[in-house]
Amino acid sequence: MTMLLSRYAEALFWFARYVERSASLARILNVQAGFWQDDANQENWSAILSLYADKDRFEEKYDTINARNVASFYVTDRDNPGSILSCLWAARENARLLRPLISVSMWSYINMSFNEFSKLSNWDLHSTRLARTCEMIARRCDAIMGVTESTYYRDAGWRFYQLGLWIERADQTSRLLDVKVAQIASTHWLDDGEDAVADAEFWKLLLHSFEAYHAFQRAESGLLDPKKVANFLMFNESFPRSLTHCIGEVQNMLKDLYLGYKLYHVEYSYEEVEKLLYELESAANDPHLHLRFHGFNDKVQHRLMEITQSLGTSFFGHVDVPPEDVSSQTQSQA
Amino acid sequence: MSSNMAERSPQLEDIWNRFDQADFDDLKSRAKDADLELFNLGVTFTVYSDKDVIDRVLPFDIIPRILTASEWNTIDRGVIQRVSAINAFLHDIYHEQHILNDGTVPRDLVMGNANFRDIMVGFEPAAGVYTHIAGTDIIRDDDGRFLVLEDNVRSPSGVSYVVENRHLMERSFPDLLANLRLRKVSDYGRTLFEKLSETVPSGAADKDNPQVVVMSPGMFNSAYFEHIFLAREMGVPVVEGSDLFCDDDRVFMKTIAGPKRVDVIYRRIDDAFLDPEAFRPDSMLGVKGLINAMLKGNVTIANAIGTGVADDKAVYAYMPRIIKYYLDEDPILDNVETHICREEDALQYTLDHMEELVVKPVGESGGYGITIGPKASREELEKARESLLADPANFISQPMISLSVCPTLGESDLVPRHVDLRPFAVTGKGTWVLPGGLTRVALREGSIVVNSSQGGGTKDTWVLCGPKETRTGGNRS
Repeated sequence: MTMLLSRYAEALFWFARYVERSASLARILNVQAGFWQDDANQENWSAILSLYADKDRFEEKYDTINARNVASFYVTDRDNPGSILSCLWAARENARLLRPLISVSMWSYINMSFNEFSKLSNWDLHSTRLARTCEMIARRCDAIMGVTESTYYRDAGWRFYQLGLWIERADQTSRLLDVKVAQIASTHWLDDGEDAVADAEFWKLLLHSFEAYHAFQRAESGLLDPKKVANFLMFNESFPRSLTHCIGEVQNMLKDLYLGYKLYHVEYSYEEVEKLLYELESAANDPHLHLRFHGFNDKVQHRLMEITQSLGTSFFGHVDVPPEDVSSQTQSQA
Repeated sequence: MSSNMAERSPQLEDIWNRFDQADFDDLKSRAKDADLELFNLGVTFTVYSDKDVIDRVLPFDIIPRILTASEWNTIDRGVIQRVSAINAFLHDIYHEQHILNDGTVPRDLVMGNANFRDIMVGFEPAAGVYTHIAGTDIIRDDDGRFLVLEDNVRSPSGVSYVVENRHLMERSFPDLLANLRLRKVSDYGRTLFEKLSETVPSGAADKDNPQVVVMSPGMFNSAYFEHIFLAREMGVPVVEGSDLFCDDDRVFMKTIAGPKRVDVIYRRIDDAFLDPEAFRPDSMLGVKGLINAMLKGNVTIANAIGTGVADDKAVYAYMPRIIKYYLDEDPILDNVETHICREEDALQYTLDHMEELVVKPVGESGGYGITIGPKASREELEKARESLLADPANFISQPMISLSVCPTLGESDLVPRHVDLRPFAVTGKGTWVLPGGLTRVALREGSIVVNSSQGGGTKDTWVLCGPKETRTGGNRS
């Protein structure tokens, strides 16, 4: 057996991240499109820009924050490296590099999807179509991941694909929670409960952004208690987008690399993951988490970057990068 | 519809009847689907632009080019003979130089050749192989004779299309292929791996299980699809220069488990870019120290460095004599009659017959710089005459051969179009030729230029099994 080239491991990791990121973005926009009727409500569209810390980049090119501009910025704008099209392009270029390893159907799916999406026009982003377009994109990304799941050979490379997937998913969950909760933090708050009914619509939408509405109903019947929603998305071990679940999977993959492939230098990443799991556990038991919610999410995202960086030094052949460069690094890999 | 045109021998009548009876519109629409499928599968050559990657499908014509068992037999033996002679020639010019000493080939043609590598003098490549992979361009004249047009012994490309074209035919036209006894082409990857493994260097880490890799300039290279195709078929990694490093005259690749020894490198990078220490210091594609590792016998580079001397268009002219010299045999495949303009008589003859001849610069590929006398305007001829006189040694000339034609799918019917053929030979301990090869077709009416860069396409090449052969039969010598 040939041991996996570092470059391939890194490409698998980023392939997964870019596909997951596209899917997640499509879901968020899809739900957001529900606000469309209320175009005056710019906050909701501006929230997405905060979610990805994109306000400055957005303003370089667009003068108003409205549904049309945000949709085009995040779906078809190739000048925005964080747009769905740019992410899928990056995913496809990683896949191109990986073609000796991946199945023909995997390549063919990502290739076809990108080609199809690059034909999206303003018409597809129109208010009457946006939800449908985003739905279609999310389904295509699901299909790419499905083909990967059913055809990728379970070698060490698979673990790097999974690492990318779960780290990105954790990152997306943490960001989305953070910004959504911040959105209403100024007016209402989690623990007083009196506005819960009035906010039901909001929490429902939040759950829908994660496609978690039905899972949540099964786990927690009754009213949409904001605290329960937040806890569910952070700490429910069985929900595949919760932070706890995602990080648990990251831990599993690292264990595999250690035990199955004798890659003992995985320990640096493992330590980072254990720290994060520990932080999640204490947060789950913290009655005052809501007061430190933003700080907590910051910490989570920072820790995820640390994990990514340690994978870079241990496996991808990166030299140590000073911490301040880490965030830009997550965007630059194609 | 009718496929009633050249290259139809009575033996092929049954097969051509299938095409004659097929519904044209149906063929046309299936051909369109096939093109889309190639695109979706990414069987493409790649052109990079600023922000995007443009994948282009090499136009694929669904009407196959068909060779009988005995026609193939000639080509097969002819190619093996040629490759043996070329390997012997390369060994000789990098060692005793008998052929230069006795004047059979002019010394300056070899020693003054830009592709001659001093570094190879006295070096003994593993298993004595210089050109592990060779692609011989063959055409057919009016009399049906096969003639060699060019040898490609550095890094000939196109073999991936041979295999993919067949797969595509099998998927798109199972009815036309039904019950035909064709020699199969899907063995290529496995055989290539075997042959490369046979040239494992003396200093390899594990001689029984050598680590083979395909070395590519990367995704920006137009033949990137082929590089990954080959790696996938062999089950080995595609590496770029940055994946490799040398230590203690050994070559390693960077894996997630740390450095791993590499024994055989099938490189698809030109000599000059392989090692910035040995050749171009500005090369970003290469690996420092690679050539030393090779010279120490720790890694095999396939094809070897400096093989370009043998596919030079001027050396080509001497190939019949080279074959005779080393093998004491007559060439099974003749050259196209070639005038070497560095020789005074030939220059004069070329100048006198410009309007009948094809004049080619010896250092170019891809069909560039060629003047086709019978089709050139007066100005073009005058220009060609000037370049010729300015540097006669840079040119050869050949009579215009009317390439054979093959039925090809046109707008509303089958039309005759010119074709050539590039069989692929792989050499380790012995040489094996993939039955068939890349048939290139000039899709424009009247055009004889089949290069992809000049509007050419490809066809599937069918080699019929002989009466006693099985479908799997492939002579491995």
